[in-house]
Amino acid sequence: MARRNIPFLRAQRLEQEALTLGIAALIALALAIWTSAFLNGNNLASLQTAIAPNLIVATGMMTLFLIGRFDLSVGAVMGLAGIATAWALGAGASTPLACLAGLAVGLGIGALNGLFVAGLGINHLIVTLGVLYMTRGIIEVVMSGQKLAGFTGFPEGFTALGRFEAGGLQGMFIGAVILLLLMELMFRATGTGRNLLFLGGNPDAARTIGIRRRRVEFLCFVVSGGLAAVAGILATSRVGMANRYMGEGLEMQIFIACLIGGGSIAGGKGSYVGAFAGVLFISLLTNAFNLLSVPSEWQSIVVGGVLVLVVIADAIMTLRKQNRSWGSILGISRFDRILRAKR
Amino acid sequence: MHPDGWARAPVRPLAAAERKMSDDSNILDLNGITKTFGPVTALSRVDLTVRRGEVHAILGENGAGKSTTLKIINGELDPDDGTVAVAGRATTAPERARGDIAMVHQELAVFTNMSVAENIFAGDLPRRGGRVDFDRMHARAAELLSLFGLEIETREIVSRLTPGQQQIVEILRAVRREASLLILDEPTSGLNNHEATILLSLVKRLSDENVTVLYVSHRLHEVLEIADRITVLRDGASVTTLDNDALVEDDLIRHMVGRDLAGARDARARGIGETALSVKSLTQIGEFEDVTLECRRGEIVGVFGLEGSGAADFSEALYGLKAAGSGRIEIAGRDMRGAPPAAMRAAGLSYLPANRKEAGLYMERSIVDNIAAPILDRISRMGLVDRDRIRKQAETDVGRFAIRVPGIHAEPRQLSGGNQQKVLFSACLADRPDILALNEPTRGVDVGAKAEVHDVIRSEADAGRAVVVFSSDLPELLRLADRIVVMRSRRIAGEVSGQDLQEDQIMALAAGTA
Repeated sequence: MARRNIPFLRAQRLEQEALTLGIAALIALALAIWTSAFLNGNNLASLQTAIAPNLIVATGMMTLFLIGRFDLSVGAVMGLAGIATAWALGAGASTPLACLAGLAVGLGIGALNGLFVAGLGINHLIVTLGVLYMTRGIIEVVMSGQKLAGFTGFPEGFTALGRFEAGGLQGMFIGAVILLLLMELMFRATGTGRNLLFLGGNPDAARTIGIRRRRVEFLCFVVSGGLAAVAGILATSRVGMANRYMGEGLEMQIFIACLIGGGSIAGGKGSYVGAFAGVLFISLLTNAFNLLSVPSEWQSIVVGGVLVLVVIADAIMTLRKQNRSWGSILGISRFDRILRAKR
Repeated sequence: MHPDGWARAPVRPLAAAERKMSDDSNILDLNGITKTFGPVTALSRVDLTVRRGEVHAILGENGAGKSTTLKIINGELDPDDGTVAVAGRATTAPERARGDIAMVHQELAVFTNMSVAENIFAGDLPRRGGRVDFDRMHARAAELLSLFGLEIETREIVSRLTPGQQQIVEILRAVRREASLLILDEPTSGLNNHEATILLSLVKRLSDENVTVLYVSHRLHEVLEIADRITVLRDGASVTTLDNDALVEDDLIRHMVGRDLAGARDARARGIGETALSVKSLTQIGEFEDVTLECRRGEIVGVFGLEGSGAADFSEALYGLKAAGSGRIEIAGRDMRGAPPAAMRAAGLSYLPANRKEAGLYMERSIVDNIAAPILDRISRMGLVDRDRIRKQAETDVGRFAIRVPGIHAEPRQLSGGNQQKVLFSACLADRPDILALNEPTRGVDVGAKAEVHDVIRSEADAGRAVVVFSSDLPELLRLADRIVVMRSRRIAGEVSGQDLQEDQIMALAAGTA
């Protein structure tokens, strides 16, 4: 039981976060060196506005990851919140009121998820997958009869929300980073933040130290839904339209970003900095494919491949820590002959 | 209750004065506690008095009623009859659950993803202005750790600690709460000797600081080392409370065992054949170490160990359900260590799991399917299962084991515990194994069915199978086994056979330093 110093990254549990962030930085560096377009103002601006909504959604998703839950409905919620806002604007609502309408949709669906998972104890995968399909269905119903571009032609006041910029920095990007840093501060420094980790690490023991599991779980789902709505509103404002394609497949991207950034579906692990690193990594990879004119199909293959690698490495590390032999980890058994022999 | 109050308690004059004034009142008074679960009486008229400031040990065999008693004290259960008074005042279970009792359960409840300091202060992190005061938290955790002479870095992640250190961290969480009564349930069960020594010195320190400790254990030497008084439970009743004054282990064993010991064994005479199973120095650090055991055809070898002895882990490793780091498991001369259960089965070793509901039976499938499950290969032709053969096999087994069933297509969950166990036995024996490893073969089975299961075990041995029985039911092993191997602290403590097959001898090996 010798006393020794704990390395900073381990003490703060930032090992995987640092790795992912480092790789993302290397990608950025490589792009800056080998492509002329990467440092171009337009590219940097579009990169920022692509990252911003993802960061906001990932902030909500990571909150759930910390307690061992996740939310697959975020992409659809993002879409429906954007459509609700656009619809309210079209019906003559003021910009703040319309945004509130969009936000209410997100909070409402989040509360629904939370009610089913925390209140009724139904598996979060099933609940949020079901809600994803329901929400996509609602979008189809609302958008039937609309043209492909969906709602367009918003008032100046609304579009300014997503298009604000200063000195090459996009307002929504800065906003998303500030939100993320505030959440990181909450997570590191406050009792509420630590309780998320206690809950994710050992739900049964968390109950004995007085953490109200259902309440925390419910609130985390509401936060996730609400942040997805904020992302939807900002994205709608930025592109100036709300259609049925917004947020499609986003849940998986965010899910993967959180895993790559150090989260675990088992809970009790991860950080908002990690969510940032994961989103940054995937966005830069996407950007690299675009700049290098690689067909977009390859993106999915690479992103999925990276995820599988991360998960495999993690699983092998865990098994090795339990003293399992390589043979048993890889399922190579010297007893195959006995197994094949019929007795 | 101040989060860090305990660390400063020794220098708090007021607290000392309070203790003095109430010295004569008991912190805990259990009076005539009775608790039944369905037809089973878990506790019958248990009395227990814990005095303020003492270390009071509860001692008893597996199933003596220790955990039920603790659950009642901790407010997790309500007794059917009797009263529980805390500091002289009668209380209800919810009152006690909310109240001033801190209990460290036998199973670890640490947060392996958090730091040592956060684990100690879990639920009550020191705060300043809405933020967690990490400096103060680490300083206090370090203070608390050094108070007990423990060299653990407070910023270390708990998953990196040894089980012993984790246990200590969890106990410090309870200590930190400065509860008026601290309950430790088998705190050393997962620890090695060195770690257990550290833990005992921690309890002694607590006792020096006037903390009242209720210490539950079956390790005699520990109890004799630290307890002021000892209450012995046996078969759900409190047998006696002894002052720990010139007591020796034999005194305790006599009270723990207490039954009439003679004549329990059945005379068995049969030929014992060649070695079928030979375990050599099987080791998985932290679970079981240097376990060597041999079982011959026609022989019944019992393995006995109290909780935490490693017997349960060893039984699972024997069948490949758990990893074993080194050593050998020889079946017919071939080392099978590391083989998966399917290979063990193919090599002729069959295993009866301890928990038939979770690991044994397919509760939703018919009895026929349950019996057929392990031998689908053999009763299949060209990949198709021969339903006729299964049905015949099932009918034979139902008759042979006298399984009382509505029909062979009934589901196990419709059956009594004893009959479920017999179905499990049929499945276990379906492929005519050479070696049987039976884990708690009669757990949760009524007396009549138990005798029938014992008959089956004996007849299987008579038929030339090598049988290893793992049981925490010592009378059962005494009745069945030709030899009993006793485990303690993860190792083989000794082996008993012939005239020495006596309950007190075995208990002395399992619990004490004999």
